[in-house]
Amino acid sequence: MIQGKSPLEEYLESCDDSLLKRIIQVYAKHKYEGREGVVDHLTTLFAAVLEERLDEEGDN
Amino acid sequence: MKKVIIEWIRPHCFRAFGECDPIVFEDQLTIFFGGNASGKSSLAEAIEWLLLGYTTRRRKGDDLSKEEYRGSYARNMQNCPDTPFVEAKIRLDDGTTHLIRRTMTVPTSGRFDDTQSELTIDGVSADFSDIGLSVLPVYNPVVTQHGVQDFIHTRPIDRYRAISDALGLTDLVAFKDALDSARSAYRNNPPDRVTKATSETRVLPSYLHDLGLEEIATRWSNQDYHLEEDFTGIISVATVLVERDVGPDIEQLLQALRNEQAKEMCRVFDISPFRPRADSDKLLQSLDKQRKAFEPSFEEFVQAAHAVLEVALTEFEEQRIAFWQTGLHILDKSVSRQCPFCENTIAPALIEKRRNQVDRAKGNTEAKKSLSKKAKACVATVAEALRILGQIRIKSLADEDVARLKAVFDRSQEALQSFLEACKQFDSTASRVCSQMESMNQRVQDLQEAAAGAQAAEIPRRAKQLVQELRGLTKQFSVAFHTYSKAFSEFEPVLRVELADEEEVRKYTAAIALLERREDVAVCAVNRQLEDDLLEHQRLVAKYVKQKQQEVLNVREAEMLAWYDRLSPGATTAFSGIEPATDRFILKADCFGNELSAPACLSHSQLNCLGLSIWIPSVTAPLSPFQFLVFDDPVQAMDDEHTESFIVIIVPYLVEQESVQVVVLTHLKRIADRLREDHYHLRHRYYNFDSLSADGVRLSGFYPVGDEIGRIKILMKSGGASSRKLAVDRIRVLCEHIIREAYLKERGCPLPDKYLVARPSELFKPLNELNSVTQKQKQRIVAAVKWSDPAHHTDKTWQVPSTSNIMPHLNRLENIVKDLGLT
Repeated sequence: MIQGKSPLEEYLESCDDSLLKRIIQVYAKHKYEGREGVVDHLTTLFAAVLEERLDEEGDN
Repeated sequence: MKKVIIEWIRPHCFRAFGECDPIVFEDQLTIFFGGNASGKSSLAEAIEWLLLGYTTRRRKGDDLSKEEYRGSYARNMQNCPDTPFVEAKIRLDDGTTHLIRRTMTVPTSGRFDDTQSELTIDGVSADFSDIGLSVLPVYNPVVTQHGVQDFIHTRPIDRYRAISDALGLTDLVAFKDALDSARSAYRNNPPDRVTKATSETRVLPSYLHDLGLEEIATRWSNQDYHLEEDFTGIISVATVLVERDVGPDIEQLLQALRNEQAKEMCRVFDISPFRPRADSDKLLQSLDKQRKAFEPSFEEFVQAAHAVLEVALTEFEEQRIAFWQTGLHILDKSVSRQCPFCENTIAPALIEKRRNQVDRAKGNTEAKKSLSKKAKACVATVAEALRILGQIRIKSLADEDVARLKAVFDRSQEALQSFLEACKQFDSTASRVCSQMESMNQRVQDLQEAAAGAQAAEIPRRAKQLVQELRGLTKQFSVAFHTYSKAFSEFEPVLRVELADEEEVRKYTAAIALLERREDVAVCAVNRQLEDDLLEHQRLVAKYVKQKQQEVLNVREAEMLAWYDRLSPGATTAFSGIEPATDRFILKADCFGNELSAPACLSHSQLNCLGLSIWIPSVTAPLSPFQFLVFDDPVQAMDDEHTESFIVIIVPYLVEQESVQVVVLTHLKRIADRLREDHYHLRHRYYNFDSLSADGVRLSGFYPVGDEIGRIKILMKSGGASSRKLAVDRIRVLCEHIIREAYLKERGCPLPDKYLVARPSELFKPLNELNSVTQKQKQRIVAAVKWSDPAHHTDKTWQVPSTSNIMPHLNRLENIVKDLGLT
């Protein structure tokens, strides 16, 4: 364990996948809202990622 | 690595606490005794909240019901409206001290949220890292009863979370759980766009089969898309179908396919003769216009007929009129007044009469000419209406058409039957209307003849009948046509679907459907990729969690086993290890060399020990910044033997071997007393939680001797005989406390067990053995015991001593207490 960092923070730093990073960041931002609230925020993020990827697909 | 202990703490309006003086902690051992709901856990949670900004109890509660636990940090009562905070003076192992304070951030507007707080160190907003402390959940120094209970008869998943908490992996595991739940929620309830696309693309694999693209069809059935490659294959097949290269524009290719499809459909069944004309509405308007034009022109016809009738009443034969006309013509050119034919003289009156008759005959001819003209106009109107009807009318379905349609329709039989019925109805109505309108022309001519034949009475009635009939016929035709149009508009798409399915057409249909739904396919493909990514992330996170668990366990497991052995030494069935698995930890037990499941085989009490063994290493870990450990009711589920181990092994080991500042909160008086007495040699403090008041927690120091002196003084103040009598009894109890405390102080341990329930007089023997108590002090104690002996109460001559008799004993004992340094 890196001194002064929680395992989740460690994971965020070691992670090189942009989607996973976003998921962790959204979780970290909303973790105090309770399980249901966090899950809602994450599913909203997934829907947003879908739209972004579809836009990219459309551009291609 | 800096370590920290607590010198004092002051919760303010937090949980059960209202306003509160600082609660001083001793360096080595601080004991709190209090009944249920007296505020013990509030103190433990105050420490946890101060350090971490949350409590594990609240976290668990929020997971169960955020609504129920909302606002529970704050003591939200009328008599404590202040902003909650907890402050403490901490001392680091380098000797420096700091005042730390966590204050709840109360929003000025919006919904109250007590989960936000601000930490200040020495009055400045700061973080623990600013003073070199690495405060992490993994080192949570508060061992709560609910944290220990999680090891006893709980579901593996709950135990998994509890152990994860103890290993400091709470956030990581909660994140994994949230990701799992979010992925499931997303899969079960995808965005509308995905739901629609999934529905639209469900049929596409069968179209791919129709085009001979079997490999793509199989993959698409499994939602495995290679968008670019797959559509290149589809476009290639479609280009072959249209038999020409239409270039890269998909829309052009689609148009070519649609044209080819339409041609093939026509070959199977040509619906166009049965389709209402595009200008049908316009034609219907023209028909109505004709109908409307018919009415005034017919009116004119009727008037003309009347005119004919009028002149016909005075009509003469045409030859006679011609004869008169010739005679008058000759007369007009002659000067005589003789008839040119019979040579008789004609009276001027007769000449004038004949002249009038000739003029009227001219009018009759004109009227007849006019009637004929009007009749022609009416006939022309009806003919035009008939011509329009012919244009609007639909071709009748021949038997062979019906047979072909029946062959095409293999699904929507009902739709076909409805259409056939509509065709039949319309054909029947149209035929009848046309036939009747054709007959109208003849009837107009008949009417004309009737007028010429001076059948006056018949004309208006028959004329009105004709007008009404035409109006009725055009209306019937119009209604029937609209009914048919509606039926056709419903039927045509069904027919197209049926035709599209015909073998000759199906390839075009398939290619069109695949290309038209390429956006839906893209949505499905991108969504599938996203779901795959999420699954992969879920696996990665699970793997990482397991890896971190193993990492922590590599360090902690040996320590956990050691602490367990201290708590439960020599048991035949014992906790033997812990192993991470997916969403659970395997807790192992050993019984005569056999590996068993610890949750199933260890006793209730052993599982409580196991819980403590997992939590304690959090603080004793080398990287832990905490040099203190708070136990909140640690032995609630433990039997006497394990409780004893906790008191006589765990606590002194922590204090003396690990140099840990131990804080124990217990609802059991005997545990609190045993801790004090057995570890009297340690620097210790003992607090009592009194009953909770409306103002909050009531806490006082526990001083056995000093408290007793205080109680006697209160009794003395009341002055009554019964109070004085009770004071005498308490003096005897005071003597017992003095002997026990003096023994504890001198020997560092309580009186031997045989004196546990001894009477004060039985304590004289160990009193006499004490070196720290002078002979004079011993004599005064013995005298006080004897003076207050309850045997006096049975003596009938005994009277309740007066205050002046009691006070000397009390004063002497108070001096002894002071001299011996007892509290």
